[in-house]
Amino acid sequence: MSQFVRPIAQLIEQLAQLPGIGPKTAQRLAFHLISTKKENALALANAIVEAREKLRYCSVCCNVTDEDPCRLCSNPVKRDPSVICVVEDPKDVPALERTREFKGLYHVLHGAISPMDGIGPDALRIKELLRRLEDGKVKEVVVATNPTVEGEATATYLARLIKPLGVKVTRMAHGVPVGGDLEYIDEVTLSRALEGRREM
Amino acid sequence: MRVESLSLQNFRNYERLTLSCPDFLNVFIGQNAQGKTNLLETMIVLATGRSLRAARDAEMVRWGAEEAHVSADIARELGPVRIEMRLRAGVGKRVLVNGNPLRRLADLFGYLNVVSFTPDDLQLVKGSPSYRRQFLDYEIAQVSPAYRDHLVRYNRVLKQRNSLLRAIADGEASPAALEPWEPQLVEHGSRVIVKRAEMIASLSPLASEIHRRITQGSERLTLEYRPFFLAEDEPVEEGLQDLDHIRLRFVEKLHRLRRAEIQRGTSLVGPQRDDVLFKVNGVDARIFGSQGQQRTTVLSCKLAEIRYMEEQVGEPPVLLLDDVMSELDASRRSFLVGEVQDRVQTFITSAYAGDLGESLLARARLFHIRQGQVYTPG
Repeated sequence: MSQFVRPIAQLIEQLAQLPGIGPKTAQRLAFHLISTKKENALALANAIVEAREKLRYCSVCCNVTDEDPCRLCSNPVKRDPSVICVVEDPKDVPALERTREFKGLYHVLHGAISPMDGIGPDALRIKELLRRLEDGKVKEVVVATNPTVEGEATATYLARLIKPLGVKVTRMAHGVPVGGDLEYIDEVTLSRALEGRREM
Repeated sequence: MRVESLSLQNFRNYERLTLSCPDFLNVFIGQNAQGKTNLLETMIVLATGRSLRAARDAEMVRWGAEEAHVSADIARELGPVRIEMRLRAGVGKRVLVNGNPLRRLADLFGYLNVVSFTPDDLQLVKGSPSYRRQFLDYEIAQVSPAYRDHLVRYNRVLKQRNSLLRAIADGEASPAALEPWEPQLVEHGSRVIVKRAEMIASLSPLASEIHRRITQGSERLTLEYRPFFLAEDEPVEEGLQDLDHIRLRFVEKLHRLRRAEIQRGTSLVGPQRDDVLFKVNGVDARIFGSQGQQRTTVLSCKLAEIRYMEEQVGEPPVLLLDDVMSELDASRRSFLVGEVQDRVQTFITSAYAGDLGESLLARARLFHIRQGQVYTPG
């Protein structure tokens, strides 16, 4: 980095800390930012500042929001408050929303259990979820954690915690995608779908 | 199936090479460290997506180059297949099959099947159980993508669970935290065990028949799969291919050993503790077999592997013999060659042509390898 003057070196260093950005890309981005129009670069800087200052976690569902409670949580007319869909990551909420199928509310855990990384259940937003189940209005919790080993373990953990409260716990199915020709689906997905087949 | 041509660019010590190898028998001759094995490695990487020698892709990229490209044209019964792969430090491999990019590396399995035989394999009978598990995993993964998936997930669960067991032993977590991992441990682990049991059940008669012929009927070889839950002297039971039965055995052992696992801070149950027993005329070849018997056993198993893969895939795989001919005596060598002759495409590496015998050399296409260059005589 020493071959660059300090402000550029600093910029490269900061950019290189972002996920998916290596030293070369960081360099390219840095030089783009200093050669582009000043207002474009400042707009980016402002967007970062604004996002950081205004965003916080919804006190109900723990999703990122600019108002508390978030728009989904404060709209009980259009949403069904008796169903909560639990996801790992804030990014998962818009993905599910795009389906327009799910009318319930969400809960964002911010991760999955992973002893290797020192992440136990206490590091996730599980207490907040249990608090939402206290008044007995929630009838079903849909666990939509990722189909990874860690996501599955988190789902099992949640099921064991929530079922005794008399709330129905369901797990999102995984298998063959709709609209895909069987011949184009990879063998692993196909064999897992076969293993999880159900009687008609 | 046959690898008809192979091309390498900035792979290991090869700057650029295109090798045409349409024959059944191909021999790479060269001194050590000239690049013979790198050619076999190319085929292993194209077949399985990973090398047995390189921990990181960067190791396979030629010094000073940014990325390596390898490709192969394969003749198969259902038509030609072309596999192209790009290796680059720090990013995943990019693979094209017949020009179409693969979404995930796991989808590569099945386009090219290889059986490799190296001096390391001579450890199969006598070496640590990890050699035998690796042998099983490597073969089954090539014919069953589902197996590979279960194995990868199982190993991940195991790693997580071992971290947790250590934390519990150190008083940093409660034993109750183990529970959420158990369904996956048992499920993936049991499926791995059932597949291994199925594989050994198919492989054992094949190896037995080959062994009988090598020894002219004087020795009877059987393979016995011993899942982790069997105690040392416990006889093998029925039902090793029955998933429900295996799940029950797994859970039973899990409950029995839970305390010990917490005390030791590591997992004591699961297929990472399986073994395979080789019996010659009913006795354990590992303990009672002579060195010659053990070598014959390995050869029988390797040849059976070819048959097994042929049964699973529908056509013979490609055989890679890395520096192993000098480890076999003349009669075993000629048996091996007779088994695969004109049927299984074979690539042999050797430092001295003299190790191979005249009759073999007479029928082989020879390639001399010197410092990443290939010379064909004549």
